[in-house]
Amino acid sequence: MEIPTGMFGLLGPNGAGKSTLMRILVALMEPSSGEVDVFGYNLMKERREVRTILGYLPQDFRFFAKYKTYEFLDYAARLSGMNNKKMRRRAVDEMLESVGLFDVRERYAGRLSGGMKRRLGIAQALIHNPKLIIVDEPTTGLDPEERIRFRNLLAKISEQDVTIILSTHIVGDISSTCNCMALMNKGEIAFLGSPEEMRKTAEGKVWRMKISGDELPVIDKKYPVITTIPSGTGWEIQVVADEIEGYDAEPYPPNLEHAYVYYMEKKLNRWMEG
Amino acid sequence: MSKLHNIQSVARYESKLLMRSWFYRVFLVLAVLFLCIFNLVALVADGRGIWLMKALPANIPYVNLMFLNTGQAIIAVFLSSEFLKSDKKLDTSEVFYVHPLSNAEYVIGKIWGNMLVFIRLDLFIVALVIVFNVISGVSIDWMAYLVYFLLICIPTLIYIFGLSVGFMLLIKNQAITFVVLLGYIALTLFYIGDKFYYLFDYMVYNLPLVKSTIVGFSNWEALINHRMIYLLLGIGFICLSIFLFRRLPNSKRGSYRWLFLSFLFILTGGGAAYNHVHTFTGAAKMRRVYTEVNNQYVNDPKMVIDRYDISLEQYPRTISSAVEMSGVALERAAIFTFCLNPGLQVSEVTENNSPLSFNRKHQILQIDFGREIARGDSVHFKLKYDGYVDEGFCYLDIPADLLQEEYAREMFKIDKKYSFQNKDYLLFTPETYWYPRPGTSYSSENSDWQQAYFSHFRLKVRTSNYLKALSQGTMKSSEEKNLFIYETDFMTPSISLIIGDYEEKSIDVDSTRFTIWYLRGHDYFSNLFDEIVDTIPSQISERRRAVEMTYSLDYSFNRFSLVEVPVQFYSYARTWTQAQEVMQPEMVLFPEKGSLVNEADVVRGISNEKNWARRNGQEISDEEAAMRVLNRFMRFFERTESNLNWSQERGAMNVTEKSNPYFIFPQLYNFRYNIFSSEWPVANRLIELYLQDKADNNTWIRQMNGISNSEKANLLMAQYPFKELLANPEQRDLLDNVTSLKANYLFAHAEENIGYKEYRDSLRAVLQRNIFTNLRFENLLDTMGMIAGVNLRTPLQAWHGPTSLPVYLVGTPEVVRITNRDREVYVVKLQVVNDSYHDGVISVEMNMGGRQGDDTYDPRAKRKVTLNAWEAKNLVSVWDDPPRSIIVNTLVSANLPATINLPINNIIRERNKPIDEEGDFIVKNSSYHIQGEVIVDNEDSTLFVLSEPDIVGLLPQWLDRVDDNSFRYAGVSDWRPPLQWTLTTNENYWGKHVRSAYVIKSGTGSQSATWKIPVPEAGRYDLFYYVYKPDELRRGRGRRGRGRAAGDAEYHFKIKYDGDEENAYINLQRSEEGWSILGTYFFSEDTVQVVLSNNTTLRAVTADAVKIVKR
Repeated sequence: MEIPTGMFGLLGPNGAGKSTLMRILVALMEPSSGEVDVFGYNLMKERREVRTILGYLPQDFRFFAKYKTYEFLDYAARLSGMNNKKMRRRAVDEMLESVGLFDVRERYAGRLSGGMKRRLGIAQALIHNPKLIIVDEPTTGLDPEERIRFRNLLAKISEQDVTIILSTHIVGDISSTCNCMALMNKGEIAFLGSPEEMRKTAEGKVWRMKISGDELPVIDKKYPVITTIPSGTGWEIQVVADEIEGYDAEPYPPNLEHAYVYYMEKKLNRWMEG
Repeated sequence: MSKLHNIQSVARYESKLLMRSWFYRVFLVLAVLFLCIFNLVALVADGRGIWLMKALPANIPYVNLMFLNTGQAIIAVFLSSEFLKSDKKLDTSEVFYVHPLSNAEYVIGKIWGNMLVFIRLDLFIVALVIVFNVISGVSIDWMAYLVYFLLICIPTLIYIFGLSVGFMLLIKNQAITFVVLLGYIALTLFYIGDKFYYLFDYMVYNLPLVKSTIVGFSNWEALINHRMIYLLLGIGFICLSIFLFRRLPNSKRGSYRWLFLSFLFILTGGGAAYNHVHTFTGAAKMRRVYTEVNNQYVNDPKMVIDRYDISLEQYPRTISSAVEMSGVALERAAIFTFCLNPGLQVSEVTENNSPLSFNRKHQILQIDFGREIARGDSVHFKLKYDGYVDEGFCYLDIPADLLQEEYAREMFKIDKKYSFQNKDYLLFTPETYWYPRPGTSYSSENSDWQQAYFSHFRLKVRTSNYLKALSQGTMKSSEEKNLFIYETDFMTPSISLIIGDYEEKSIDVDSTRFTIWYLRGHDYFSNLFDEIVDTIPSQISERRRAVEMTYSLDYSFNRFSLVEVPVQFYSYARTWTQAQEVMQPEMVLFPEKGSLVNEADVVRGISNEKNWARRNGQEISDEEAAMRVLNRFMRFFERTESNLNWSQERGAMNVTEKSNPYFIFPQLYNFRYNIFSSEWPVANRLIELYLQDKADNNTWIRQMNGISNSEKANLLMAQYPFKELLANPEQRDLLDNVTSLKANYLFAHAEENIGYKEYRDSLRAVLQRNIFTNLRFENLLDTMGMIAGVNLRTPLQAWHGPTSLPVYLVGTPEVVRITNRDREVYVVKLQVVNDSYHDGVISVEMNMGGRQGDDTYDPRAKRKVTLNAWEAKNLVSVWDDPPRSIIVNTLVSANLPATINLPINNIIRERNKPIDEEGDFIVKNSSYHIQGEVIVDNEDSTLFVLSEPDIVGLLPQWLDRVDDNSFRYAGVSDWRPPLQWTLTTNENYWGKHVRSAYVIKSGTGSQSATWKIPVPEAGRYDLFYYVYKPDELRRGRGRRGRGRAAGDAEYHFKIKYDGDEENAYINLQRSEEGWSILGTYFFSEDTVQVVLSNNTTLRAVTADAVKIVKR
C-alpha cells in the first residue's frame, strides 16, 4: 500500500487495527512483520529521520494539566529541534493564531474545552511543519460545529505539500476531506482508493422501502438496515443488498456511509455469516 | 548540541511540572517550616541551641542538608513513580515520543528536570540557613556549604532517582516499587544503619561528616569514595533506565550501548564499595599483623630508658627525628627490642658515633649492640628516623566492633582520628609510638607490654610555618621563633607532641600554671570572664582542693593545660586504666571549642544561669553568672560519667552512662603510679577503682533498666571466672563494675580490721613510696596485707573460678532514742543474716544527712562487715544524732537490689535506760520467723498466681517489651507501665534477698494477682498488704495538682475465705510504705485467698506480698 500526499483517510470499525497501524507509522510500535518506508526512510532503521518529519495527534489526547497552552506548544517545538528562541516564539504564536487559541495562550491546558484541546493537539503536531501528519480519531467526542471546524482545519493543511493520515470510524470525516482512503477490517486493507470509487461500489445496492410496523423485525433479520424513518403507520427504511426479494423496493443513490456498510456487511460476508 | 538542547527542553518542562504539583509544594512548605523551627531553636533561640552547631559552624549546613536530604530521598521515590505513571496512562507522552529526541535525552532530561527542582530547593534552603547562620552570629563556613551540598545531596539524589526509576521500569508495578523502595529506605535507616562499615548509608546518616575548624575533613578519601559508590550506582541505574525505557529507540544499537554503560557504572560503583570495605578490612588485617609481630617479640629482652633527648623537625607531610636515649638493661642480652610507629623509617642507629646494626619488622625495632650488656648496665645510643605516622597502628587492644562503633554526638557523626600530621597541625600521643619505646605495644599473649617505664624527656621541636609546639614539661627559652624545647620536671611514662597555631590564656594559682591553649581565632570565652578575672584563682584553687580531698591524692604537676585539639581526636577507654589518650600528663586534650561538652558553651551557660536564678526568684549579676558557669565547667572534669545514653529496644528504654574521658583522676594517679601484674593485668584498674570508691546506686537508672550494672556484674561473676570476663569484649562495659566489686571484696577484711579511711590512706602511702616505678601487684598485696594483718594473696586463687554469691537477709533498722539525765543518744540496731553457704562481706553506711563535706571523720559511718555462711549479726551503734537512713551494699551477692537504702522512720523513745554496747554481735539461732505470722510473697511460685494476660493489639504488644529472657527481672518505667504483669525489683518491695514485685498498668479489673495463704490454725488474724508507693504519689506530696486526690489512689482487694468473699481496699495516699493493714478476719484452718485487681486510678498496680498475723 502506498499513501500519496494529501489527505488520506483510514476507515474501519472499532478494533480494525487503525490505531495499531497509526502507532506503527509513528514509530511507537514495531510491526510484527513487513516494511514501512516514510519518504524514503526505513521506519525500522531510520527512526530518528522519520520522527523528524512526523506530526502526531493521538486518539486519546489528554494533557498535563499543569502546562499552559503556549508552553505545551513551546515544548513540542523545542523537541522538534527549533532551537532558536525567537523563531520558536514566533512559530508558537502563529500556530496559536491559526488554530484559534491565541486568546487562551496563558490558560492551563487542563482548563481548555474539548475542542480547544483537540486543536491544541493538532497544533503541537504541526508546529514543526512536518511532512507526515498522523491524526488518530480526531473528531470523536466533538460537537458538530467543532467537528466541522476541525475538518476544515485539516483540509486547509492538506493543501500544503504534506501527507495527512486521518484514522477514523466516522465516515463523514473522510467523505468531506480525503482524496484517497483505505478501508480496514480485522487488521487488513479491505479497500484502497478514492472515496468516490468506494461510493461507487455500492451503486444499485441501496434500496428504499416502505413497510408496515410488523415487517420491520423480519426485514431487519434479512437485510442490513441503514436508516429507519417513521412514516404514517409504518416505516420508510433504507437497506443495503444486492437485490430485494418479495418486497417493494426502489433503488437509492448511495453515499460513502452506504458504501461503508455495504462493504462491511456484504463484501466481507459478515452479514451472511451472521 | 541538539542533544543538550533536547535534554534541557525535557528538563525544563519536567521541572515546571514538578514545581506546579501539590506534592512538591507541600513538601517545600513542610521542609522550610521544619528547618526554620529547627534553626530557630538550634541557633537563634536564647538559652537553647545545639552547641556543636555553634562551635563548629560547618555543622550548620551539615545537619540542615542531612535533614533535607532525607526528605528528598523519600519524596524522590514517590516522584519517580509519579513520572512513570503519567507516562504510562496518558497518551500525552506519546506526542513527545514521536519527536526525534533519543530515549537517553528523554530519560536524562526527565531525571535532570526533577533533580533541578531539588537542587533549586537545596540552594533555597542553603540561603535560608545562611540567613539563620548570620542571625545567630556564628561565623559562616562557606566552603562547608558547598562541600556538604556536593557530598550529601547530589549523590543521594542521583542514586535514589536512578534506583527508583530503574526499579520502576524493571518491575513495571507502581505499588510493588513503592513498597520495595520505601522498605529499602526504612531498612537502611533503621536496621542496617552503620553496619558493614556504613556501606549502605546512602543518606549519610552514619557517614562521619563533621568538619573540624582546625583540620577540616580528616577522611576525604573515605568520604569521596563512599559518595562515589552511590553516584556511580545512580548513574548506572539511570543508564539502565534508558535501556529499559519503553519507547522504540532511534536506532537499535543505541540502546545496548546504554546497557553496557549501565553495567560499567554499576560495576565501578561496586568497585568503589569494595574499596570502601577493603580499607576497613585491610586496616583490620594490618592490625592483626601488628599484634602478631608484638606477640612474637613481647618476651625479648628490654631496657628501661632513663632519659630521652628527642630532636624533631616538622615538614609539611613528614617528620624527621633524632633521638638520644640512655637506657638500662632489664636483663643480660645483646639485642634489645623497641617499638616505633611502622610509618616511621629508621635510617641509622649509632653508639658513640659508630653505627649499630638494627632490624626492623613493622613496628618492631631490634638494636644489636654487638656485645652482651649485663642486667643493670647502662648504654647510650642515638637513632634517626623520619616518615608519616601510621595511625592504623594505634589501639591494637581495642576489639573490632568497638573500633567501628560510631563516634557521634546527637546526629553529628564524627570521624575517629588518633593522630594528626598535616602541614598546619600535628598531634602525636604516646599511643602512636612517635618515638621509640621499650618493648612492644599490645600483645594478645603476654601482658608484660603494659608495664609503664618512667623516663626523663628533653624534646626539641622545630616547627614549620612558625607554628607553636606543645609538650609536657618546662618550656626552655629559645632564640629561634620556630624552635621549642621542653624538659620534663618529673619522670613520666610518656610524652605527647602537639603543633599548631596556638595561643594561650594562662593564670598562676598556688604555684601551678593553668593554661588554655586554643587555636588562633578560637577565643570565644575569655571576654565573658574578664569581669571575674580576680576570682578565677580562688575558684580554681577551691576545685583543686576538692578533687585532691575526694581522692586523697595530690595534683603535683607544675602546670595544667587544656589543649584544644580537633574534634575528630578520639580515645578509647582501656580495661587496665582510667587514663585515656585525651588525658596526657599535665594536659587534657579537649575537643575544639569544647564542642562536645555542653558546659563549654559559656555564652549560653551565662544566660541559663540567670534564667535559672530568676526562676528561683533570684536576680544574679553577670559576674555571678560567669562564676557559676566557670564552676560548672570545672566540675565537668570531676564527673566520672559523662552524658547518659538512651537507647530503645522494642519500646523499652535503656539508659547507660558513658564514662567521662575527661575525668581528672588520671592526673592524680596514672602518670605517677603503675601497678603491674603479669597474671592480673587488671591490677592497676583495680587499684584505681578502689581509690575512686565509685558507687553504683543510681536508683532511677536501675529502675529504668531493671538491674544495676553491679548486679549484672554479680550475675556474670557467678557464671564466669574473672579472667574469662576480662577477656570477653562483649562484657567490656561491665568490667569496671566487676573489677570494682572484686577490689572491694578483696580489701574488705583489711578495711574491717583497720578502718575504711585508714586502709586507703595506707594504700596511698605505699603508692607514694613507689612513685615513678612499676609496682608489682603481688608485692603491693603483701605489703598491704602486712599492714592490715590479713592475707591478701590467697583470695586471688578464688579469682580463677566463678564466684559463689552469698545472699543476705537485711532486717529493718531499729532506732531507740535513749534519754538519760546527762545525755541523749540514738541506739541503732540492724540485723543482717548471711542466708547462704558462702562467706561474704557487706558494706554498711550510715547516712547522717545534710552533713556532706563535713571534715569530721567517723570510721563507724562507712565500714565493711564480714558475714560467714549462715551467720547472723546484730550491728549495734550509738549516735548523737539519728541517722537518716542506712545504706547496705551487699557487694558480691545475689541480692536484688544489691544496694538497699533503709530509711529510718520510727524512732522509739525511752528514758533512763542503760545504753547498749556498740559492736557487731553474732546472733545464734536467729530467725525472722515470728510465731503465728505467715507471709506470702510474689516470689512464692506455689502460693502466688497471676491472671492470664489480656489479649492486646499487635502494636501495643510490640511497643511493650518483648525482651529476651536473659534476666528474670525487667525494668519498669513509671510513666509507661507494662501491659502485662512484669516482674521487677526495687528496694522498697518486700522480699527476703530478692525484693521483687509484679507490676502492671492499671485497667478495668480484668487482671489480678492472687495470694493463697495457708492458715496454720483457726483464729482471728490481721491481714496486711506490703505497700509500695509509686513515684506519682511521692511526687504528689510536694506539688499541688500533680498528685491524685486522696480518695482515688486505692488498691482493691477481694478476700476469699470459708466460701465467702469480702471486699477490702487500701488507700495508698494515706497509708505508710511497708506493711499496711487490710482488715481483721476470723479464718478457719484453711487457705485464704487475697485477690488484688488492677482496677485503680493510679498508673500501675504493684503485686508484692501479703501476710497474716494471729491476734
